[in-house]
Amino acid sequence: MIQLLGAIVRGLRSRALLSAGSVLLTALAIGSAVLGPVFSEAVTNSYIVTRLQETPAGLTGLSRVLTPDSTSSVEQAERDAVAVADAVNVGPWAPSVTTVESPRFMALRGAVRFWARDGACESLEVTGRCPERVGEVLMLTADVETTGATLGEPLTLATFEPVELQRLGLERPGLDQVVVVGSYDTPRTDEDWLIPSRLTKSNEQTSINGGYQPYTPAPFITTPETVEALGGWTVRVDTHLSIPADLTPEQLDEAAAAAVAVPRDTEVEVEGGTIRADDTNSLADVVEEVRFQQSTARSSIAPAVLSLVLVALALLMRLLNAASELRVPELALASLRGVTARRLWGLGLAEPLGILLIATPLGIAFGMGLSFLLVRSWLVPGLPVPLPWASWVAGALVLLAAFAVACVAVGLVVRESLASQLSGVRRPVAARRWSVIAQLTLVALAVAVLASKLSASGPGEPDATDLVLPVLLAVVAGLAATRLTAMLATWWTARSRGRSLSGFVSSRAISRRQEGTLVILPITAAIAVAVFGVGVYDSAATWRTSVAATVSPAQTTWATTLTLSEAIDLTRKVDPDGDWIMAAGSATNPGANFSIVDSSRLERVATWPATWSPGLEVGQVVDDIRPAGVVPTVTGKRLTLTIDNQAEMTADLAVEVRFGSRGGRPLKAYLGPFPRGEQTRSVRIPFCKDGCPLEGMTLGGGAGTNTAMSGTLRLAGIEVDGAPVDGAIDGAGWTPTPDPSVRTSIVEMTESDGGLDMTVDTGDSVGMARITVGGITRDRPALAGPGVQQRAIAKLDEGFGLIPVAQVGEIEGMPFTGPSGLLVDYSSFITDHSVYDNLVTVRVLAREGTPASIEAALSEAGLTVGTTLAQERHVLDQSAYALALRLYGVVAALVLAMALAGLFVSAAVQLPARRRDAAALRVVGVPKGAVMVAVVRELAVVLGSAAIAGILAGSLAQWVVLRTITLGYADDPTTPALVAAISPLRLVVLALLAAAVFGTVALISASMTVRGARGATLRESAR
Amino acid sequence: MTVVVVGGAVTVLQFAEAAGTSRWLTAPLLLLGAVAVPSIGAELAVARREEIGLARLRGIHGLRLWRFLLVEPLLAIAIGTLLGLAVGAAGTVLATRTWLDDTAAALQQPALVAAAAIAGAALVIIALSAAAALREPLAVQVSMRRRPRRATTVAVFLSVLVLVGAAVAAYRSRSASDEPDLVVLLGPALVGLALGQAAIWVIRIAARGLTPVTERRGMGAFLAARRLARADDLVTPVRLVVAAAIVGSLALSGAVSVSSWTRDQAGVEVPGARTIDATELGAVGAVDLTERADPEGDHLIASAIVRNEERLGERRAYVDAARWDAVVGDFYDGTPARAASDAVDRLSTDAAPLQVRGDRFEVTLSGIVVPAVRSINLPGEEVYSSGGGAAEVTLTYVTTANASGSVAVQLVTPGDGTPATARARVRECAQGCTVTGLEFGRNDEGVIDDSEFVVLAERLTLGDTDLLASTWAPDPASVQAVLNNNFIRGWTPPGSFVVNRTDGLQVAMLPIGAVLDVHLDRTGDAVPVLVAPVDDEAETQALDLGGDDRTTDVIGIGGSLPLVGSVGVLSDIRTSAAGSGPTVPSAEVQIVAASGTPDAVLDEVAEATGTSWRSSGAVRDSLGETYGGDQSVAYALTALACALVALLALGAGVARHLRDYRRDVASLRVLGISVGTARRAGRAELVSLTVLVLAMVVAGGWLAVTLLLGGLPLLALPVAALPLDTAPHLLPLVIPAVLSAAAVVLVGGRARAVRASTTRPSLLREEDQS
Repeated sequence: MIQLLGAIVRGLRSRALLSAGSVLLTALAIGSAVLGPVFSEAVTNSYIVTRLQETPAGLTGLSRVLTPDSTSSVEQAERDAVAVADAVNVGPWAPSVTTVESPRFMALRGAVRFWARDGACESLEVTGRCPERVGEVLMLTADVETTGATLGEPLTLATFEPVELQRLGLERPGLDQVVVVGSYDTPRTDEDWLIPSRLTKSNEQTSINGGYQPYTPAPFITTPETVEALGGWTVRVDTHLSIPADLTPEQLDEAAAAAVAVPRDTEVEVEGGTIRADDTNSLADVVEEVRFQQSTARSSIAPAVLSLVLVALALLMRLLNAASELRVPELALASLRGVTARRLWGLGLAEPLGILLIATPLGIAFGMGLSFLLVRSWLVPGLPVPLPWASWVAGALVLLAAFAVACVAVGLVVRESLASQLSGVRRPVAARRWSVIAQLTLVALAVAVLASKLSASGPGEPDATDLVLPVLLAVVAGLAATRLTAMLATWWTARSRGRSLSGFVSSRAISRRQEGTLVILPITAAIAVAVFGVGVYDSAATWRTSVAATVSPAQTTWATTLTLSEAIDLTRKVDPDGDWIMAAGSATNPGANFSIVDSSRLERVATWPATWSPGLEVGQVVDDIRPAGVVPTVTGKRLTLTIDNQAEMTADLAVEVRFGSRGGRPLKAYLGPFPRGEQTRSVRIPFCKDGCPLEGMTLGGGAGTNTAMSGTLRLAGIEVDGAPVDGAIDGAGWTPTPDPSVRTSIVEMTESDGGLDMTVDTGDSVGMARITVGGITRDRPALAGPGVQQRAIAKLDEGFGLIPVAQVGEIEGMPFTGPSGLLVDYSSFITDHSVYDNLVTVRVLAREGTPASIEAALSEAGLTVGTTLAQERHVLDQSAYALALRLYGVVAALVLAMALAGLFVSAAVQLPARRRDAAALRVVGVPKGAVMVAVVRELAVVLGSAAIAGILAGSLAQWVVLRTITLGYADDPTTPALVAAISPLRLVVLALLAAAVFGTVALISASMTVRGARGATLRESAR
Repeated sequence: MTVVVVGGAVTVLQFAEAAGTSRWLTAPLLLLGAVAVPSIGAELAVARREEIGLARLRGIHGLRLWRFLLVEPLLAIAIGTLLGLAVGAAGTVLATRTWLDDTAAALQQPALVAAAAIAGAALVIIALSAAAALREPLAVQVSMRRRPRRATTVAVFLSVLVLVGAAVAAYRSRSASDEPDLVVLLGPALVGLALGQAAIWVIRIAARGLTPVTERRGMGAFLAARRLARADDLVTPVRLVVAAAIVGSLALSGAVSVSSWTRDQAGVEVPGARTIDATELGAVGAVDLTERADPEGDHLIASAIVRNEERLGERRAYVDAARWDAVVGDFYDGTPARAASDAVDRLSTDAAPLQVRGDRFEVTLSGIVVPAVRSINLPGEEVYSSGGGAAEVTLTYVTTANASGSVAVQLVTPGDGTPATARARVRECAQGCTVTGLEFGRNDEGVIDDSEFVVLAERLTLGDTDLLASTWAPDPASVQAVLNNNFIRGWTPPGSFVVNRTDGLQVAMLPIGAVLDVHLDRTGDAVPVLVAPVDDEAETQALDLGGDDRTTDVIGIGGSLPLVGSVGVLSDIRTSAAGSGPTVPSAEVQIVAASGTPDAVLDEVAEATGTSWRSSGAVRDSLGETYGGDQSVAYALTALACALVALLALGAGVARHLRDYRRDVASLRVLGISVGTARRAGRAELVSLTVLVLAMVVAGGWLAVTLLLGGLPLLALPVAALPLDTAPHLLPLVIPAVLSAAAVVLVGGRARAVRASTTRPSLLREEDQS
């Protein structure tokens, strides 16, 4: 036994590098197996905590009302209520807080309530002092103003009561007047008061169908004695859900069960009275969502861990094989000395087992350490690191698998014939039949699964095939790369006789020395898994950005009640250059929502994820939807038109000029008459003092009516306050109004020399020349999302305040409406066309770094910050799934690290053999340079093919898997689709990186080979 | 072979196109073809080995050799494709005429493309096998005997691929809930081929194991075992036979389960032999019609279904429960709906719609508390007066044509209590109508008046029916509407609005123009219902024919109910009609006739409804058509073509090897083994093959049905329908098994039928000479 131990130690020491590599890989594999379940558990626990912390306390907390027996005192009832609540509340509940509540009384022209609660003053922002005596109250600040109360003065409760109030049948309070000793504000957080909105007032409301809501001031906070004196009191007991960082789903289940223990609609008899729930608790829904998130997180973590473990095992196999091959002479000697087969196995297995034994505690420590690190750095602070049994099982399975690998490695050597064990040079042998079949099975499995996934119709629930596909593809790519490289090398060897010596040597080395090509498989697999992991992580992150950007299409999204045109005006005024802010809006229309943007500023201000418009730059998107002309802005007090009227008309020509609308009121000015010949007329436009858009004109009878006209009209000039309006004709894109309901008289319209020439002809009938600016066509150019229904587009018309559109292209996502929308320019939407402002939800978008002056101007205009991109991202990033996907990043890094470690170790292991080869070549007179080039070439081919195969397989896996699985919720039609795009840039970077790393390895290895390759090497090994 | 594959593919493709089903239904056939064609190609190449060898000996190489090799198969494939197209066109016409309503065009573009693709693929495959034959060493090519060789890597890969593909298909078809993908659609053929492969392995391994054992058991058994272990004339085609039979089992099982589903579902929807649509009449009209046409209640029953597939909570059906036992009786025996059917007669209650006939509505009112006349002086000396006992009584009803109608009379009740009478004509009720309610209102022409006004209806008749014989109750909704009205403030509602007195109906009027709805008193008559719940805890609500809520009395819960299927509420038509508005437009009213209904009765109903009777079979057919029952036909066509492919492969194998076998027997005879022994050996070989095929097809079919049938797109099941039974059944498994075994026996018997004259040892000599 001691002998064996000594042999193990000596063996390990003599192959220190190999042993260290094997220990490292085993530890990594075991660690990953431990890490996976730990992390998935921790992610869900963390998600529970963040989800509950985000949820208003009103939805998670409990509020029950105890109606006491007639005999109990307030203190007794409060004690009873707390006792009942504590008895029912199993799970993570905070201590219960009681409030003594009076019934509603008819007072102050409304329904008044009195509340008493210990420490109420401490938890409220109070002006004045706390009530101490009977009859003293605190009122809501707003109520103090409404009721005209004065702090410190008595307030008479009984006032005139309206009939409706009287009919509610409320009692009058027992007190005629109260002393208002202070006022309080509605609490901003739900930290102390479960539902802060209970501490607000509501105004008198009468609905059209007869419902009546009396004026209800916020509760009067007073002393318990006051409430007791009023009579008819009840005790409300509020319980917050306590959300410690170590909250588990099981505790949450308990809490959800406790939440429904007291029913809402029936009184339950308890000690001291009856109790009934009166809250808005929906813990059950939260629990359900947590369960869903838990399952997605689990199913998304599994493939990452699985591939990590498999790559580690593949590399381990390679290293253990190398180690046992180095031990061939040892074993051969042992069998020469007549050691029995069993002992031979024991001898063979002793060293790998020793490695496994050393690696196990290291692996567990590594897994737990990494879990701890990841949990601490990514998940909610204070979250305990769980250690589920699944971790132990996975670790044990990996250990078992590693043992099996070791057995296979030893078996391969032990079962070799003694002759080949003893021979110094290894010759290539044909692959064994079972290994061929195993490889073929893997390939067949990959083909079948790939075919199945590729022909599947669309995203569905992830199943086992999604989990195994990346790993399968990685392994198959590795196998294929190995075979292909060897085949090519053989072919090249056959061809390259008589050509360059180093080429021949390198290709022959590849085709004959199997150890060299064997490293391809694990490296390919590692690279494939890394590419897949990074790709999935990156795609999910991109997708989340795209989802967040749909809600907040710029760094900051301001909410406003302004109309779209007002918002446009505001942005033009505040930020004339259009560098920082823009107006945008959305309009809901079933089947085809509208996303309305100020396209001239879109490129600079908005966040536009590349996945929204694959193949299109933002600039091209803007060009697609931008109308042909720019709507001119008129700023001044007097508008002057010059018209050359050469038309036969029944009456003199009159002109109606339209300036859009303000506050729902259309702005128009009328000029005329313009008799035959060139005339100039002017009109006051006081409303355009600060600028207004010139949207359209009607040339016809009085007040924009029909008249008979034929001949030519020339609009020669548009002036404001005596100065020509910039861009009023040139570049404004005047067109006959594209409205089929208008009987247009315009036959032809051209722009020449800064004027508009119109040929009009109404024939026997009547008509008018109605023109619109901005190059508006009947069907406005729009980019449609994939979720838009063609039927809905066909049904669009101007009748409902919407616009007919012509779909000029398709994009995947857009602000606010995502795939379900039509992206149009604002001028398409509002120019010279009646707009129902309530149809459009308007926002102002501001990009990052917007100057404070602009933000201040927006605040002054009454805008509030609606949301920000970062905030939306944060919410999405904290979902369990997003957290779980971070593991893919870790896996990618770990796998690459493992591959590199494996590569170094195997390069080091091969070094002696290579040196011998190189020395042999040197001895026969091959120059040093040629040997060097041959080795570099060999390694470059081997590693390059591994890298290429790995990148291809990883990309394929990513593309296939992303096509069929979801990366989060996608219920909402406005959620943009996940784009299974493969970023070529990332691949190029990866390829370059791989080339650099592998090239370095090849160079170092080659130089070391050549440096140590002296003729003496051969002598030494011969000895 | 090309003819069969192309013809089958074209037929199935066009049929699928015409029936609107997935084109990929041909996938199993194509796969089997792709397996069969190379084996034939390989055989062809092998058969021509000698030719090739000779050609090579004569110095023919390169392009000339290839041309020499490929011209023959090219011609065969071209002719085969053309013939196949013709067969396919004929098959399409035949199949669509038989199973679909209209005949599809004989040939369309996709089918042509598919045929071209098949031909191309066949050519490529044959070229590949020819290449394989070419690469053999010359010595092997010119040698007389073939020895079993190790499978090439490609062959191993393909069989592994089939096995793995079958496993993936099985997994995906069980786990994936969405549309089936290509692998799932290929599943039947994959599983079939995999099991065929397994069958071959079983034979080979068993035979190899048995060869030494049988050595001691006599020559016949030894010969049989050895042949099974080494020769491939009968064994190799077994793979295709088993595969085709399993595809057949699946298709047959699918067809059986689809037809049993349509039968059961038709039974659920039509509880009798024939049905007629009576939606025009409304449910009550249909009940009346059955009463008229079949007064004894032995043959006809009315029912109404409100499918509501979007809102399953309101899915419901009504039956004339009183007639159920007599008309439907044991119709549902042996189906899942039997328990519910037995409970239907308990749905019937005493409540019945108040049906009246007469064309004169007469009202006599006397005032109990009558408000004074109010006069308002309008500008211009005009005086406007209102109130003073002016009242309006309206009768609402549903006519026999399922339309709602109303008739109103206005009268002024004097303040002193003298009765006032008014009458109106109701032509619509001359043929009978169902009274749904009364409305009492002041006739005060819009003047706000909330003074007390109580009347006593002393007489309320429609024709000869005294409406006061029924009990009336106020509609709380109409009272609530007034209480919610903002314009009426300070009005105290009276203690009771309606008092059913012996001398009449006392009604307190609502203020202003509000109308008090009075309907037949239904308190206490909860509607008994049978429920098939949406999910386990959902509450059910009985709705009357007009869709209004009624109090519910759940008398039974079942998983499958007549008429509604697996989700819905079943209640009595008469109970639900009492006081109900007209039958909702979405209701499908039908009258069902039991088998054996006299023609006179049927004709009367047909005349009254203006539509025609549909038999239960017609309903079944339309169900199959609506929900894609044609898929199973397409599958069956595919299976048929697969079977032909397998038969051809078997036949081809036998035909080619017949000469070899005779020569073998001749050699045996040289060694002194009698023809009889050879025959026995052949028979033993055949019997073991047949038994194996039988067992394998039954077991494999069972496995394939269990694994795959649930995932195949057989039917687009409607909401709330019965579930499709995809469990394996014995008969559909045994029939293909017996057929395939019979094929093996017949074709194999032909192969092993050796006559003494054709196996003379001189045969060997002749051959050497040639």
